[in-house]
Amino acid sequence: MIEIKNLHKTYGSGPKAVTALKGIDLSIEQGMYGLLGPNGAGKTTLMRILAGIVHASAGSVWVNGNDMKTDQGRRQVKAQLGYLPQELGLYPDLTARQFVDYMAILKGVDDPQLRKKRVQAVLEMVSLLDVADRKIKGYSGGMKRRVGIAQALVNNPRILIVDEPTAGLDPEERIRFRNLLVELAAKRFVLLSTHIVGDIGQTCRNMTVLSKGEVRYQGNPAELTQLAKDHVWTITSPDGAKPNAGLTIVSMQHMPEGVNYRVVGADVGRYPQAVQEQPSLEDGYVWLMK
Amino acid sequence: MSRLNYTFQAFQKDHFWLPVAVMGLFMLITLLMTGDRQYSVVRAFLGFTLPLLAGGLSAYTFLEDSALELQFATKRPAWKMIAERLGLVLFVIVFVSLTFQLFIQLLGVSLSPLGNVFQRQLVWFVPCLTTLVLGGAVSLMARNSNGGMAAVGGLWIIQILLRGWFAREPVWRNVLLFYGVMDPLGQPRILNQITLTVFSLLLLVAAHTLLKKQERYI
Ligand SMILES: Nc1ncnc2c1ncn2[C@@H]1O[C@H](COP(=O)(O)OP(=O)(O)OP(=O)(O)O)[C@@H](O)[C@H]1O
Ligand SMILES: [Mg+2]
Repeated sequence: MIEIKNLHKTYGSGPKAVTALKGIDLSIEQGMYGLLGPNGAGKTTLMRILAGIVHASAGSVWVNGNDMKTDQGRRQVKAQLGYLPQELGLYPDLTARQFVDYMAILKGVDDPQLRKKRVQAVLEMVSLLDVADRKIKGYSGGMKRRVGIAQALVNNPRILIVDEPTAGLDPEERIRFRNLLVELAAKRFVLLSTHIVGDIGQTCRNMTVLSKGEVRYQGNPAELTQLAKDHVWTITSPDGAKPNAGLTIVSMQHMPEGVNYRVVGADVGRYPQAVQEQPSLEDGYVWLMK
Repeated sequence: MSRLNYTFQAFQKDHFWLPVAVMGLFMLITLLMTGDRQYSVVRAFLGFTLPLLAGGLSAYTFLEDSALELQFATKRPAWKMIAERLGLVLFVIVFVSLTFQLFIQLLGVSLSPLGNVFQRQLVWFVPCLTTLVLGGAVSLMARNSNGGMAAVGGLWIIQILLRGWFAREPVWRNVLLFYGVMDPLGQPRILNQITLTVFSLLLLVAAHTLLKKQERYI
């Protein structure tokens, strides 16, 4: 159980201070949990606080009964943590196998036999076995990200925090990784932050939308989708003119009969040809953020 | 053991060659010199150059780490990280110093003006320890490796230029990095070495406090 109460985080002080989190209240159960929000919403800040790297300015954070205000609590959490940072840096001169082995040592997987097995297992999970003994500097962006995922899993963590994990992965790998997270979430806390709305809709039971350091929505993806019910339309515009009047265009497509705009908005009175559509999670998100 | 090996391979391998190259240079110069001048070169390397190398390497040992955020997310306590990183730099410095001394012995240059076998180690080890911890601590304080290097380099150059003045002042000579090598057999060197060691320990405590504030560095 993760309990967050009235969490504030301010970086710096004086006139240059930036408040990244402004009173967050959340409680997160075991399973897969999604964090969604625009750039600068505070997702990474929240995840770093949960990982014990950044300290809260005010409020309380308890992770599995550990108080993140204390050294002791943070160490206890780190002992059961798998963490994939948004800005992932690796050591280019090590091979993937060495890198993951090194991280396993730092995480306290001390038994060499066990460590060897774990390293092998996680490299297989991220399908890197056939290049595992090549230096990381020769890897593509997506392969590096998979090394990052492998190191997060190597200590078999109870708490897995992944910040934008699917950025840079190809579609197949993205799907594989999404499924892997769901499998892992059966017995763990998995916290996922992303800009990709679809990643959350298909995996998370519960989610939070953060915006400007505040919680804008908390609940399950289906309910967020339903927020946009009766507010999603398709407008076909024969001359291609963009619909306006407070409508947000979520997608557009050129067709023989004109341009099809999918829009989210309160009122389409000015467009009698508008056809109502079933909302998607993305529509729900757009409606919420309007 | 393998963790130190990885730490070394990951981001200190390049640093290793700098002191080795400088040592090679000094070996060459020693070969070209004769008599008393040989001893001067040896003194210049052990007493003056090594402390600069120690501080310079340690200034870059914490923050020039591409996977720092991953390192911070592990449960390893800050003191262990300090011991690992500064320990590796110290290991390189000790290795270079002992290799150099062995070479000098083979050349037949006597180091006895620097005291007995134990005393002549203190002459370089104590100032190296001070600059080592100083470089690491200031880089953390400034959140910038070049800041650590500037502190070490600045102190080094000021003390080199004013070493005569420092050595004459009964209080200030205790913080002169080069006092030991300038007056290797004099009594005051002991107080100097104790002072430098105490400074090093205080800086080590400061470095530990600073490194625990992980969010400053990511
Ligand atoms: N180390 C830092 N020092 C100062 N300000 C920071 C720091 N880290 C984040 N911020 C600020 O805090 C706010 C939240 O940033 P954060 O990285 O948590 O957002 P995010 O939701 O992860 O964004 P993104 O989707 O772009 O990754 C931003 O205004 C950012 O400028
Ligand atoms: Mg982020």
